[in-house]
Formats: sequence, C-alpha cells, structure tokens
Amino acid sequence: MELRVLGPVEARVGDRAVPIGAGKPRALLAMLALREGSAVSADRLIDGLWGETPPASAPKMLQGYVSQLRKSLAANGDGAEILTRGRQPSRSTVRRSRRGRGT
Amino acid sequence: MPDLNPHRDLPVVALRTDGRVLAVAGHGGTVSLVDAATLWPLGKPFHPLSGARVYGLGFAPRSDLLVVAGAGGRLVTYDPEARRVVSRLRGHSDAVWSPAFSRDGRLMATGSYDDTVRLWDLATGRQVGEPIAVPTGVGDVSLSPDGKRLAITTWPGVEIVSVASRRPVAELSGDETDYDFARFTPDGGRIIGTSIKGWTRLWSSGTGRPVSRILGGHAGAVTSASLSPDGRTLASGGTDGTVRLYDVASQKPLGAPLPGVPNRPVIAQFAPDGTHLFALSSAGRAVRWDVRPSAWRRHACAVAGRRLTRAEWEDVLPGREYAPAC
Repeated sequence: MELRVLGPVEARVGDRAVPIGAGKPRALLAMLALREGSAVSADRLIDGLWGETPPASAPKMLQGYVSQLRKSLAANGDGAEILTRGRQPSRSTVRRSRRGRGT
Repeated sequence: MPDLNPHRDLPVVALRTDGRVLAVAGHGGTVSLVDAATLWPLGKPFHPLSGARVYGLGFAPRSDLLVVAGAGGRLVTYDPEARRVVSRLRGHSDAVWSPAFSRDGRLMATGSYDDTVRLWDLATGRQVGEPIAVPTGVGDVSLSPDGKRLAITTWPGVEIVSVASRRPVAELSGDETDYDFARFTPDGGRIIGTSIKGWTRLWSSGTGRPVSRILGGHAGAVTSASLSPDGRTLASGGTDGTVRLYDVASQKPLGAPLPGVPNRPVIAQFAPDGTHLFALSSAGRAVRWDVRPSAWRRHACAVAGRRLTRAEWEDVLPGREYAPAC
C-alpha cells in the first residue's frame, strides 16, 4: 500500500484507492504513517487530532477511528496494518505492507 | 468509510451510588463534584491525576471512592471528601477509561488504548489475574453485578467473557450494536446494547441473543441507555440531544422524547431510586427530570389542560390503572 501525505492524504494499492475516511481518520492514518514503525501514545494522537482541549470522550473516539482503519486496511490494504505493541509503552504505527512500497 | 464519530463529544461523568453526587471531568485534567439535586458545584475542582487528562470516572459501590482513569495508563482511587489519592493502580500502559464495578464494589474492570481489559481488587489495588488481550480494540467495558462476566465492546460487536476462565462465552451479533456502549442490567440477566443506527435493544447475557424488539426513534446514534431500578422503563440518550423512554414490558415508546441540548449528545442515567432521570451532556450541561408517575400525570394534565382520555393515559402511563385525577 502506498500512502500519499503531500497534498490530500490518499492511500492506494496500485491504481485502487483504499478507503480511509475523511477528516480525523484520514489525519490519524497520516500521523501514524509519519512515525512508521514506532509507537505513538493515545495522548500524542489526541493532541494532534483535537489540539489542546479535546473532548473528554476523545480516547474512545480515537479507538473507534483506529478500529475503522484496521478494518479497512485488512480488507483493502494489501497487508498494511496498524499494530499494538502489547505491553510496550504504546501502540505502534502502521506497518509496511509486505509487497508495497512503503506504508 | 463513514465517520462513526461525528458529534460524539460525550461527557465523562459518574453518579455516586446514592444518587446524590455527580463527578464530572473538565478540561485540563480537572474533576468537579456536583450536587445531583440542584446541579450546583460542590466546592472547587480538583486534579486527581496531577493535571493529566481524565478519560474515565466511576464511584465504587459501598466505599464511594472515586476511581479516576486517564492519560498514560494513570488509574487512581480518590477520596473526594479528603481530596486525596488513596491508591495508584499500575498496569495499563496507555489511556484508560470505562471503570466498571461488581455490585459489592470489590472487583473493578478497566479498558484501555493498550488493547487490554484489566481486573482489579479494589481493596488492595492489585490486579486480579492476567490482562485480557483485545486485539481488535476496547470500546466499552461492563462488569456483571455478581462480578463473574464482562461485556467488552470491540469491533465488531460485543463479547461476553467469563472472568474466571478469561474466555468468551457469547457475543452479541456484530455491526448491529454501537461500538462503545453495552451494559449489564442490574439483575445481570440482560445486556443493554445501543446502535449507531438510532436504536437500543436488550440481549440475553447468557446466550447473546436479542430478548427485545429494536427500540428506535432517535435521529442519529444512541450513545447510552439506562434501565430504571424497577426494570420497567428504559431510557436512551443519543447524538440528537434527546432522551427517549420505553416501556420494557410492552416494548413501546413512553410519551414524547425529553429534550436535552439540541445536537449535543446526551447520556441518559436513572437515579438509583428511580425517581429521577439525568440527561448529561458535555460542556457542563445537565438536566434532571422527575420521572415519578405522579409527576408524569401532573405534567400530562398540565399539558392537556383537562382530564386525560383513556388513550392519552395509556400513552403516558401504559399499564397503569386509568385514574385521571386532573
């Protein structure tokens, strides 16, 4: 899967666009991809998505976006996925697809 | 891919088990106590996580300790009277939310962005057993009143997990329920699940099968629901800013929706004695409704300005003997 982050964020596998939603889910995928392979904490992502005064329910909303993206990548992402790093401090970012040219 | 989250700015709020005090999370990691009868603040806000953001609140039954969950895996029990942290519960590695309790207040479950659900002995502050891994992400967590089963909202659907074996025993069918709300009923026999499609439904907590019709009517997602302590009335709150009531026996809507703040999602929560219903929304707004039958009757009489007909009576007070003393 190829993720284009200069200009409008787009995910593609070959000529096919991967659905990544609009607004926040799209921004979230871009944030994860820019730190590919390293863990990003919920707080950091919440700061990026909502700024200094996020809604109190922000982490659950974030979790919802992650799950939506996981589902879409599993169906269309050619092996790209969003990982959890188990007991390490945080969730890791998007992993490269097996055959793709980057996330 | 639809954005499942528009207008989901829900408050993080908890009602003390006696129904008299609400705890509400504010910006900057603050928590305020509010008198549940007058909805006026009780004293100054405090910072139970030393300023870190608060993502979950809950009053533990019996002890009335306030459990505060938040950023960076922080989880504490807090004494609101003395305004001090009682214990720090260590284990989660990222944002924590949804503290849920057994009826006796001994066992607590929490969900986290670290993709685990953990169980805690509240008396000692120690973890009970190994964390339960939920690789598809944790939405909401509910513990059965006897502390034997968990309902974990994930994607898709809701899993019912045995606390003893840590294994799934049933699941509510996927895509039907909302992704962040499922609660055991006070008798433990059923689970209330809500849908992004605007409805609420009761499910058997043993089999995961529906035991009610779809209770619809909201324009937008249903974000919370609450069963009255007598089990007769179900209240649901939605992103449309209204609270709807349903008669559980007939599975029919009960009167007109109660208005909240337009387009501000509301959490519907019955007081433990069933006399009042809270509609709680973000930005510190809350409404408290008197839902005693006498108040309904008074209100219906005032709206009608005359004696209620039998059909009108049945509409606002279904199943109750016709006695329209307006």
